[in-house]
Amino acid sequence: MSDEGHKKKPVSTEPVVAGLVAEFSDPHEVLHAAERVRDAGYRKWDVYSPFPLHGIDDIMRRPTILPWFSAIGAVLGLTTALLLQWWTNAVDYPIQVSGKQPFAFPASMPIDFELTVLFTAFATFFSIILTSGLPKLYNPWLMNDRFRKGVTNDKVCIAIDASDPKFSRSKTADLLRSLHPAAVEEVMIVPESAALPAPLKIAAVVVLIVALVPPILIVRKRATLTTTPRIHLVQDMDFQPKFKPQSLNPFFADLLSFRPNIPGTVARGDLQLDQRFFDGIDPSAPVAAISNVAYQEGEKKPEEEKKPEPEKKPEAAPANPAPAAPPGAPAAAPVDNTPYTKEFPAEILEQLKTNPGDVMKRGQQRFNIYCATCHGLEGVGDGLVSRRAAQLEQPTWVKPLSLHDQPVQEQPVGKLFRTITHGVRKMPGYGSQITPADRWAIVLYIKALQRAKNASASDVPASELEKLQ
Amino acid sequence: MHTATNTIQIDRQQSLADIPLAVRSLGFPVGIAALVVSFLLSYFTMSDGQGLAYFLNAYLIAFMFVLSISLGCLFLVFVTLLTRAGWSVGMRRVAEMIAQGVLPLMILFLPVALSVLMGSSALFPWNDPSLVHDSELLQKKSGYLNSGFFFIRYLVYSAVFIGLARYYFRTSLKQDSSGDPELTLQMERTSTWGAYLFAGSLTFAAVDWMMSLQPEWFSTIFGVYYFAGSAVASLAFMIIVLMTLQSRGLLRGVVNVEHFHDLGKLMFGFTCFWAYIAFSQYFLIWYANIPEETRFYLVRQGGQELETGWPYVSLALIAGCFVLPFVGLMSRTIKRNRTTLFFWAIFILGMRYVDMYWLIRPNYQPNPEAILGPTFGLVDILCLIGIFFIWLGSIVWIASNRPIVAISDPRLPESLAFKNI
Repeated sequence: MSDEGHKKKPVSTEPVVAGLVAEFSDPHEVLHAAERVRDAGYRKWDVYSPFPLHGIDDIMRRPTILPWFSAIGAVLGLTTALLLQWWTNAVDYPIQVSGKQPFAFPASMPIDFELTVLFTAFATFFSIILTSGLPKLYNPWLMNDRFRKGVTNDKVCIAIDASDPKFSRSKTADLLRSLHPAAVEEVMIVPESAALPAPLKIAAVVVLIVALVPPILIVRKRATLTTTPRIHLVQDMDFQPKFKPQSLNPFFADLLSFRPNIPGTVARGDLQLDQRFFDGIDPSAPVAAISNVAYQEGEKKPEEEKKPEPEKKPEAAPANPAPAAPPGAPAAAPVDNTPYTKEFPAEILEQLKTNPGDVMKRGQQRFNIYCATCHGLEGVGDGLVSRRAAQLEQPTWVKPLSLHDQPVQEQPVGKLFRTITHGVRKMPGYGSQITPADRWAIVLYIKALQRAKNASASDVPASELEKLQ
Repeated sequence: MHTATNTIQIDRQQSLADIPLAVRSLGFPVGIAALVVSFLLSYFTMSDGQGLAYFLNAYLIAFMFVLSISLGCLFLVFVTLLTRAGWSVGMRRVAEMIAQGVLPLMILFLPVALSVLMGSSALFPWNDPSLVHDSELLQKKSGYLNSGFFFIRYLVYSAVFIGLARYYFRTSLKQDSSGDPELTLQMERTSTWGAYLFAGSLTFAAVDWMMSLQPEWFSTIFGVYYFAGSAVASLAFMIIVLMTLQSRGLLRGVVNVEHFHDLGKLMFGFTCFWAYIAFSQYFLIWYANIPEETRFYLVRQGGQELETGWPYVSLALIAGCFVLPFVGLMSRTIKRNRTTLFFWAIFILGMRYVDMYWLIRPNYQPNPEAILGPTFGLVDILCLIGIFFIWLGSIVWIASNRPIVAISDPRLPESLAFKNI
């Protein structure tokens, strides 16, 4: 083995025959000539033309496995698309929307189509490069002047490779001459010149090594531990010219970027003088009671947290007026001394005078949006969330009160308003989500619901009553 | 195969009269008998009044299927005139004749229309006052979906379909004797506004007769969906009819492989068009997540806990109405071969029935608790036979003794000499 290797090392400088080239001026003659070459049984031959020759494919009958690569690419693409969508939609993270199946085959078709086309294109492209032996750095036919000038201009050439088993210098040349070509020439090459030049080899090695640098950098970055982003790809997004809360700002003397309120000022829209409208408190109550409320409010509804539950128990005891209850009432329920307002604020009353239907409609709409999910559309506590929680037997769930329970019925409007604002038990406060005017509209609607629940036949207008009967 | 040249002499006497009278007059008795047997079968074998609903459902499937062939042929007639197509002139008379089928079909719809007028909600739920009372959506729609307006619209559609079909047939026949090329121009001019009338009537007819079976549901593309299907159905039926007539010695030399190739190309194209429309409808509805819309596909595709067998029909529809014909008809060789083209025409026509079945049958739900899977039986087959035979019998009756080629059309030589590249 080593002996043979040693022999091969010094490449011969003697020219050898690479093959035969026949040049044709008339493209139609090439078609006939190609037929003859094919029928003579040659396999390593090709036709070179500066323009497409229609019909030459059928004559040359070159078997190609390219369609099979394309087909494999298509199948791979389709499988990938189906698996990807099925797994992400139905297995890994199924989302259920209006009872639909998580994975529906017809809905996946656009992506199936796209990936099939993509994979087919890739498979076809790369297999063309592979099967045609690209990149081809050396072509022996280009050593021949006639071939080089003719094929890149207006001539068509048939070239038969010397490595073909049927090739013979004299017989093949005779065959080609019998095809009426413009010329037949032997192509001689020096095997040494076919070898890759040394500088090119060095350049290839250098390029390969340089190509390794980015992946190595990435691997290195991945292996290090850091709390900050390793690479800032989008600089102007990562470093924005602005101050974040709790960060330093050298511009101000106190170095705070977050500016405190200026003493003695109120921000726009924050001046809430009308206590009845904004807090649901009767402003005519004694000052002590009012300041007490302010204190309790700062504590965040400690009174409301505890109070309604005991209130529920003495339900049997009739008429237990919760607001401003006289001391010495049944049980030892903590007395709620908050001076709730018992009437709607002037703003709401004004609107009720001009267009009462609007406020009621607004209240109904807001109620159905914010409240009905738990309290139910009629306020009996059968909202979807509540029913679902009961179905799941959630231990932490506190069923919402029916708005038609006696104690709730007797609550002054101010208390209802404050419950909506600050929440109670499990119910969160909606003060930040619903404007005060809308909260009052909801209170109005709740009052209407309560009234409707206790309606009698005499409440129905006579004309409507007739229709019902 | 015949190769058409300009020198071919057309037998001016060619007509359906060559078909024996016994065969020609077979349609009516067979069709009527089949319909009567089908009705009695469903009415007396099915319990608690479901027989009528089932029969009407099966009747409507067969009706819409056969109607799609006639309407598609009417479309072919005016669209070839509108585009001044030369290749199709030789076969246009056959399409005109098949389009005459709208006349018996509009009479065949009368039982359905009258039952609606008399207040039956066996087929159309929106005719049930108690259902409308419970549904706000149906109350809003009741201005359109009510029995009186429904019947008026049926009369309008009938007038448009029959009027257009009769107009083209008569004008074309007039040209046979007079040979006046002005008549061709006149038909072309009529086609301009006739196309609008046709498109509007077909769209609303599809909405009335099929979409309103599930009145809460809506799809704005529904009319186009039915139209795309009817174009496919008519092309398939044209291929079948032309080949059948040729096997009986008619139309030889007038219609040749080049024309069949073109019909095949159109059938292939409209198959893709149907798939495009069907998928557009599906995709928008499926991803829009609007409950009133999605329920149409929930029944047919199977939702969360819904295994009824309808999903398999849906998959069969995808395969049979698009994938298989698409692959099968792609090759030029297949479209130019009589046997293979005939096979695909039969196959595609069969799938048109499946499409109508898929649209209409899921609306027959006798039990509101559980969804009924696909059902098919003697009633459906007899309904199809009944309507098809009455329809075909009428066409043969109307068309016999009329020339089967528009012999004096100025573009006939162009059609005879037509060659695909």
